[in-house]
Amino acid sequence: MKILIENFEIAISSIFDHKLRSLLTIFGIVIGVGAVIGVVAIGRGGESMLKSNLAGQQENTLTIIYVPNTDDFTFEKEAPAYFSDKDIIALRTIDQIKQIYALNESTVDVTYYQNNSGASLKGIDRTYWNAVKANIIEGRAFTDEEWEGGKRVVSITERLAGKLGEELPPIGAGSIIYINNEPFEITGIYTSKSESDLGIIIPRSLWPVLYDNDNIQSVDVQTYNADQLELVSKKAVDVLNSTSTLDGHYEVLNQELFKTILTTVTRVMTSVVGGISSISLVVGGVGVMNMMLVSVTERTREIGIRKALGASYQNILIQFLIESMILTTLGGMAGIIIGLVFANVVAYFAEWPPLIDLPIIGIGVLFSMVIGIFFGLLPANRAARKKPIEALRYE
Amino acid sequence: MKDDDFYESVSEAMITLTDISKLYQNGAVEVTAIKQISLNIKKGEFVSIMGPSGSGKSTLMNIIGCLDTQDSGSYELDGIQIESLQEKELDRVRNQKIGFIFQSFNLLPKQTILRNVELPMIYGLYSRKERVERAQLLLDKVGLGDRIKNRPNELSGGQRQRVAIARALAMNPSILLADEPTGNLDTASAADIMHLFSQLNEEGTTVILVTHDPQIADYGTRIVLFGDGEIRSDVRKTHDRNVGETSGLTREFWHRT
Ligand SMILES: Nc1ncnc2c1ncn2[C@@H]1O[C@H](COP(=O)(O)OP(=O)(O)O)[C@@H](O)[C@H]1O
Ligand SMILES: [Mg+2]
Repeated sequence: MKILIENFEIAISSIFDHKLRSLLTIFGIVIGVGAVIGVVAIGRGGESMLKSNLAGQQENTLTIIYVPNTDDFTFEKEAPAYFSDKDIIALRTIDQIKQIYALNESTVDVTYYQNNSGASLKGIDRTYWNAVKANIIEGRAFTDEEWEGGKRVVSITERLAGKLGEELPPIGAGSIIYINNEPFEITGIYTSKSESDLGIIIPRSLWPVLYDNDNIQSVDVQTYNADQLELVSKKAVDVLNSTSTLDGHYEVLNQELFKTILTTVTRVMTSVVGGISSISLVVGGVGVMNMMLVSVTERTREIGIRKALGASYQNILIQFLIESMILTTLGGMAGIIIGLVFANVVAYFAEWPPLIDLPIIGIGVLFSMVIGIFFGLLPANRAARKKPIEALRYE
Repeated sequence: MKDDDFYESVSEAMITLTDISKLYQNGAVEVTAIKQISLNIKKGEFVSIMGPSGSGKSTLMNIIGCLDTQDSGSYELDGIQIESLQEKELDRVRNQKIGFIFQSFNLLPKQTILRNVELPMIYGLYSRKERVERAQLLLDKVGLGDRIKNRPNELSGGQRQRVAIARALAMNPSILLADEPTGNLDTASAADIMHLFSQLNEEGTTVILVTHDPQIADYGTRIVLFGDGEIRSDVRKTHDRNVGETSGLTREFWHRT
């Protein structure tokens, strides 16, 4: 144990006695570890961003879609709607369904005094609203009466409020805005997960005010547990197809499956790219081995002196292993910092969360240590095996 | 003989070499560096080994210092049968029993002289405190107590050799071996170093020293002459009576070669 601490001192002084060489030695490790850490952090950030952006962020959710016949395709501006309130009522007969989320979406023009903006409008039900748990920062949520369509009310995102209310008069709860030239009263301002969201939410019951129809564009259903997903998707499709008068048919998009596939894809990509980057780690390790071999040869005389003074095979072996391990660990730590900076820069511009957790850092440090020991074994053994008299004679 | 009786009475065996040989393969040629050498050295002796270049002095010293091993013959050091030892045990003998001093000092250039003197004690598993204290003490003893933070290249040759002596003494060894310790030094520093050896010998340390220089050899109490891998003569001085005789002998030797 004592000798270990000594060896740390010997190794550190030897590393700092040869600063430039040490830096060059660990360069490959820095790049290798940096690349791997960066790729993994970016991969995980991207994965979580993709997942959270998936529609219907609720658990155990299915999205039901209508697949039109080719003849049905139109190039109208508004997406055709293929669900009606009748369909919702039909779906409610399925026992395993816990919630139904109906959603209509469109792009609208909003006007507030002289200010004008495009915005994405969602017509939703109260169940949807409750599930999303939007965070109201000013005003209030819709009342029961308002959800039923009693009043022309909207909630808008903070971002949209900021854009519309750039000049006086200030915008807030109670202000009137015009959506596609129809007046609506703002009851609340909410924050959205996505900062760039210029969003408006209206009770779906107000949809006919803007679009002269009460069709539903998209329906998500939620089951009580994941096991029911398969049964429910079959039942829902059956119910809808049997009552449908349309030419096309209904199908289910399994969000869970989609999430799983997405996760698999991003993981595979991450491991492929990470795997390729880890080749650079091996190259870095070989670089360390090469430098250590050079260093062992250069220090033959030092080894001879140490052996003449009583150093054993183990003493010399450990000295060089520790030196190699400290080198790669320092390189690994520098690499981790570089990788994390890189991941954060990418995450900043891509607007997704950089996922950096302690395990990644821990594994990175541990891995660079192992590389140091592994690639240090050959040089250290070569050093430790030297015969004292031969090592002393070395010029 | 009177001399032998004297030595028998004051000391016991430190080194017993019996029929030691060492061969080197120089390409196709086989060189016998030392041929069946037998030599006994007792505790407290100060032996000077002289002889022309290539006569096998260093080869013998390296074997005595356990830096190298003989091809045949037996070697007993302070009661330990050396050729029967494992590598690990040899490491310990080098560490605990032997203080080796080289012509080229062999200090670690990047370390302070304090660290250099600590080195054998690191491998001897001394605690840091013990180590530093003892290194300081030894450097005081060789007159470098105020230079502990210096590195070897900041010292003169004579000072460096004194650091090497302090280092050799660190583990309180049974013998001090010095292979041409004054070979790289000027006359004044050489005399300095030799006084130090004499002093250490008077304090009880067994010293074996290789030199070309008859005047240096004269510091010894026994002079062994080497030639062609064999011992040509082995003379013990008894106090000052024999100094002249021995000097005469070494002088004669030098005239011959
Ligand atoms: N490592 C070696 N390889 C081959 N021959 C050697 C080696 N070391 C010494 N010798 C030979 O052994 C003989 C004795 O050398 P050495 O002990 O160094 O003599 P000295 O120290 O008396 O000058 C010489 O002939 C020398 O060439
Ligand atoms: Mg020699």
